[in-house]
Amino acid sequence: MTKLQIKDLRKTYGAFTAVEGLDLSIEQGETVALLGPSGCGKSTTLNMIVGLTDPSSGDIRIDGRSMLGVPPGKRGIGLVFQDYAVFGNMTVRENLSFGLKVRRMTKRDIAKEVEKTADLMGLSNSLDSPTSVMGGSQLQRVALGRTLVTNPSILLLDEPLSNLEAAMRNEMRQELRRIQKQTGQTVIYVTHDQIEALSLAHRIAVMDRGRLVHYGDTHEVYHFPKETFVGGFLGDPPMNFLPGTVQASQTGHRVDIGCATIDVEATPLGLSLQSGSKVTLGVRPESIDLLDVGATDLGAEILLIEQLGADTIVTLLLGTHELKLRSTQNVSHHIGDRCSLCFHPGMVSLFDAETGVKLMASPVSKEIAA
Amino acid sequence: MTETTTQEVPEMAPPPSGLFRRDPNDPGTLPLLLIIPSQVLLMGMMVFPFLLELWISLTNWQPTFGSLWEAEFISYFNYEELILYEPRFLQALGRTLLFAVICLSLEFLLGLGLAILFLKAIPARKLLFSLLLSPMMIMPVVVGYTWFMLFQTNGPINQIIGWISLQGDLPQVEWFRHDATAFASIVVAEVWHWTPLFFLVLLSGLNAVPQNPIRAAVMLGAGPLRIFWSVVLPNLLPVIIIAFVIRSMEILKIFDEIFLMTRGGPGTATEMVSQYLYKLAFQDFRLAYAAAAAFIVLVLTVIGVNLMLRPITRQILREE
Amino acid sequence: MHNPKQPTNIDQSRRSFLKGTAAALTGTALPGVLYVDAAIANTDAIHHIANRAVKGASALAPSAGKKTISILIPGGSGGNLTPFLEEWKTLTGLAVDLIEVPNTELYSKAMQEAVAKTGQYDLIIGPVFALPDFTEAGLAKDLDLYVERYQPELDHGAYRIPYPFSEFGCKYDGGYRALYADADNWALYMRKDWMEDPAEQAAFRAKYGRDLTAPDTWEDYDQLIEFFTRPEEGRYGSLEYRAPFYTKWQWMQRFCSKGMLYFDKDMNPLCNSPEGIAALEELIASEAYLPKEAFTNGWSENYNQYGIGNVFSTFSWPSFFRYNNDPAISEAVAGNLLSAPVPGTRIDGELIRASVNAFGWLYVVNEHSAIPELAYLFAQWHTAPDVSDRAIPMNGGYFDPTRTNHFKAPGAAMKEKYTQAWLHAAWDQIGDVIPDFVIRGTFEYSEALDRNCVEAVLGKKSAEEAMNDAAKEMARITRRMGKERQIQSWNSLARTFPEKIKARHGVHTWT
Repeated sequence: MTKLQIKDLRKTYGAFTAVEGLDLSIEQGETVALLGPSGCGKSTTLNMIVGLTDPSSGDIRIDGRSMLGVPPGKRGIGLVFQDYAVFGNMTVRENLSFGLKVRRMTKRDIAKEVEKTADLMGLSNSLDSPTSVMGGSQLQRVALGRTLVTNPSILLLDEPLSNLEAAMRNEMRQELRRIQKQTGQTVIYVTHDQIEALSLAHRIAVMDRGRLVHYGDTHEVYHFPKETFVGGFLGDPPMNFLPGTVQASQTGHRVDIGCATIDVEATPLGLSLQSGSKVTLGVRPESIDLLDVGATDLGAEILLIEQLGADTIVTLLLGTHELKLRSTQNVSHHIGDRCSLCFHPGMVSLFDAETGVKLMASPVSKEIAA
Repeated sequence: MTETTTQEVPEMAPPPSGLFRRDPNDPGTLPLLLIIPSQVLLMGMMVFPFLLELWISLTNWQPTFGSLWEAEFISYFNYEELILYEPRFLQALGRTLLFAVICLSLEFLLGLGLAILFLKAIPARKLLFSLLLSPMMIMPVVVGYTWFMLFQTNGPINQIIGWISLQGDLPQVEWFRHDATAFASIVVAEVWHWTPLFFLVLLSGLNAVPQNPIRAAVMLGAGPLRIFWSVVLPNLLPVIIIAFVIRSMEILKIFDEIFLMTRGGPGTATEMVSQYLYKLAFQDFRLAYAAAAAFIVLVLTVIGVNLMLRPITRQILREE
Repeated sequence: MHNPKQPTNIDQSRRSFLKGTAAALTGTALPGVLYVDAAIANTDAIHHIANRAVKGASALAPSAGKKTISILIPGGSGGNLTPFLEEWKTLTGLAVDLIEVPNTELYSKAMQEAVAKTGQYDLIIGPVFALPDFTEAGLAKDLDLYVERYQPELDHGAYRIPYPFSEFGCKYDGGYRALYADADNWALYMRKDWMEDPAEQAAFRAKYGRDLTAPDTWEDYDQLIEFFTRPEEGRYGSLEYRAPFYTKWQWMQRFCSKGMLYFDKDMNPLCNSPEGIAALEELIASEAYLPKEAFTNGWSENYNQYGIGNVFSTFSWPSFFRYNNDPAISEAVAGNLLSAPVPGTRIDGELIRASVNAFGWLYVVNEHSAIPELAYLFAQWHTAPDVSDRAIPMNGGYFDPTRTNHFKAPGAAMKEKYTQAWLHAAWDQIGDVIPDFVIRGTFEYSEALDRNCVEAVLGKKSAEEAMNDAAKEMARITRRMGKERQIQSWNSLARTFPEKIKARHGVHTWT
């Protein structure tokens, strides 16, 4: 069942377009992350969803009902702010009660609901503490509780983890997952942090310069980005991009990347690749394998090896291009060694060199050979 | 000498003391010596006059009785006189309090209303802003004289009342002749003069109120009144209290306007503490008696200001 | 004093409207039927006082530690002084520095000097009622020695300052403490053109059965102001003061003209006597004849409002006449201003008038001055008969005619500014002058009286309550000031009241 449906949403400020032609639908009980760098339009989108900003055009529907003109407090949406926006002059209990008091519930009902939510949020012991003395994760719980207690049909969290210390993030992430599971709440995370998005969401909507560039489940968005932007924005290190030229072949296509040619299977997305057209070849660092030294002497040179605990990041020079490779295995190579590379089958993406839009997914693996 | 040898000196020589102590964790006496002159100055500037005033208030000194050093020590007599036998003083005190409460409430409400208005985009905002602030930049003397003229019986205010009353049924008010209207007229002058300060303070206070709690309240479905009362006002509280403190201390000193408009009259109907003190000190030159009265006012002011500041003292002093 | 038998030279037009007062004048042996005495202006003697001052100053100047005389003056009084400073410097080599403060602050500034003793002012021009305070506070230097040495002829000789100004304007407790520079008693000012209008005269006669003339008594006066009060025409009978600080003077005139003094021999207040209450009730009753502005007007508002020309009469200072008789200032009033004696009360066939000396400025030498004698000499020079005759008519000053020659042998400028008629009327009224509270604590007594008068006028208290309160407050002030000392001071002030009033209280028998 579609919970939230956004249709051709636009927001312009004078000549500046903050959000352009956004279409998005979210299912009941789903967790979606709205991801993008700052300025991509995700905050504007959030504000339009909750009703703090009016869209220039387009429609927002919740449970099929248009929300245009419905005031923020009446949309059944809960919003948790990045800075929590807890009422600093009130105790935890007063914060949690606020939304219920507005709804003119009886004192007894309020007390009951507040106790319940406090229990869920782990705030039972600090209900009467002033919030002015509380730290980040506690405030996060209060903010979340204050919203949840009103039983919103959609919960929006704006950068929920970015104000927390690293140690607290993990804990809070788990908390959020737990709460989501327990309540079955439809949740939208708005974040610029890919880890947050990848770890919390079922689906990710990546935005760039006011456009929705990719909306899909986390696996798809991560491994098969629809644009170079998505590939470059997600992942640390991000996707490697190699410029190349298409060479038609009998078996399919080959892409010449200067120092080598790579076979890509022809599974065109409604278009065929013209021989000689310029493309960008994208491959994730973890989709590259390092082959033994000397297997072939044409290949890459190792520039840097970084040991990051479980992972090792290897920086390579392939022709004139730098590539990063992530390996979960111990790397026995040394800096300066030459080596061969292997791209995992089906994990290579081709993008139009000019527009950065994905051309096709290639399930073919190709050893880089002389 | 090399560095090594200089570093060794402390080890070889007995540890220097006093001013030349080297231990970086021990401030020694130098800071103390540096502080002493300013402390002495402070004592001289604040404590000495304070004690002198206290002592004078215990004498019967006034210049027409001879010099201060010949003045008779009369113990608490002045205080007794002021509190028990001089209703005029206590009346002036009470009146000042009433005046302060009325004026500050009006100034606050008007200032708040204007400030809220200015949060929205209104036409000619910049010009209006400058205009609205201008009254408080005018000298009290000028304000007093201006309103004195405006409230004249044949002055503009009565003229306006004349226009408003269609059948001429509204009387021409002789503002300074009746207790209530005289009092009202100085309230008007004072409120006109100082509402801009509240406006300015509240406007900048409102602008500094974090927006997200307000949005959060909106999201929770709260209406404007509840948001203002529960979210905005508590955030403004320190600013409001400080504005109130400053203004009440100022209002205690109100002088020029009353001097020019009513001279404390009719009778003593608009006589505030400052007028009464002025009369005691600069007309009657009963300096000891005035000192006693001023001392009472000082004590009450200190108590009053501390009470007003109480809700935010912890915040100001950054104590948890 | 004058010889009343000598012929008068009042001009005929004045005589016609002074007819009403003629009986009073002759019948009560007031001073001054002889008026002009040009002889005193045309002898060398007129210069002697100034010359002695110049000679004295020239002799002292070379050895003086300070060559500049600083004078604390009330703002707006510089006009009488500034044009003469160069002359004084030429004569003596001494510079004069004027330090101006607002006239309401002068008393405070001077008293502060009494406390601080800085000597920053050598001379102070202060109000006459402050002289006792200045003296008691050790600010006003005892001038007996200088008066003896330089002979300013304050209370004797042809150029003397007429009594009682020479008394309360120069002395306190029997010793010389000041040089009086500005006689400032009130007179009644009326619209001559209104009075001379035949239609008005006829209407007045029809209504009151007597001629429309300057009033002898307060009843006459009250009829006049009633007659000219026509609110529908925007006309009013009087612009008497009813504002705080001024109202007491209106009361004093009515009260003292009932043969009363402010206090009895033992300084018990008499304001709550039947006469005091009646005087206040009269003030209350005349409200109907006053425009509303009277209740807020201070002196300058009063001057200006009268100048508009819609009010028949007012009581005021000499400067009022000078001001409003100037066509450049008041077209309506200039040339139409008649000055007459303040109305009186007829008691036992005797008409008693009381013209209050409601201010008046004087020179006081600062006790703490480094050059008191030079300071004194400047004051003597500036108040000398010849110099002051030139100084007083200057524009932008406060000083009014004070010495005998100003009235009786005025110089050209003096005559032009004040007019012969006014000078004459003013001289005639000197015998009726009553002092203000020229005693220690002047502001306290004045304020107690004035505030209560105002409260009664505004209907906040009955006249009786107001006067009882005022009496109580004044008695309390006296007690606190030290009764004995105040009685002594009051007894000498009481002696300066008009004879007719003094006689009723046997002041001459007070000890």
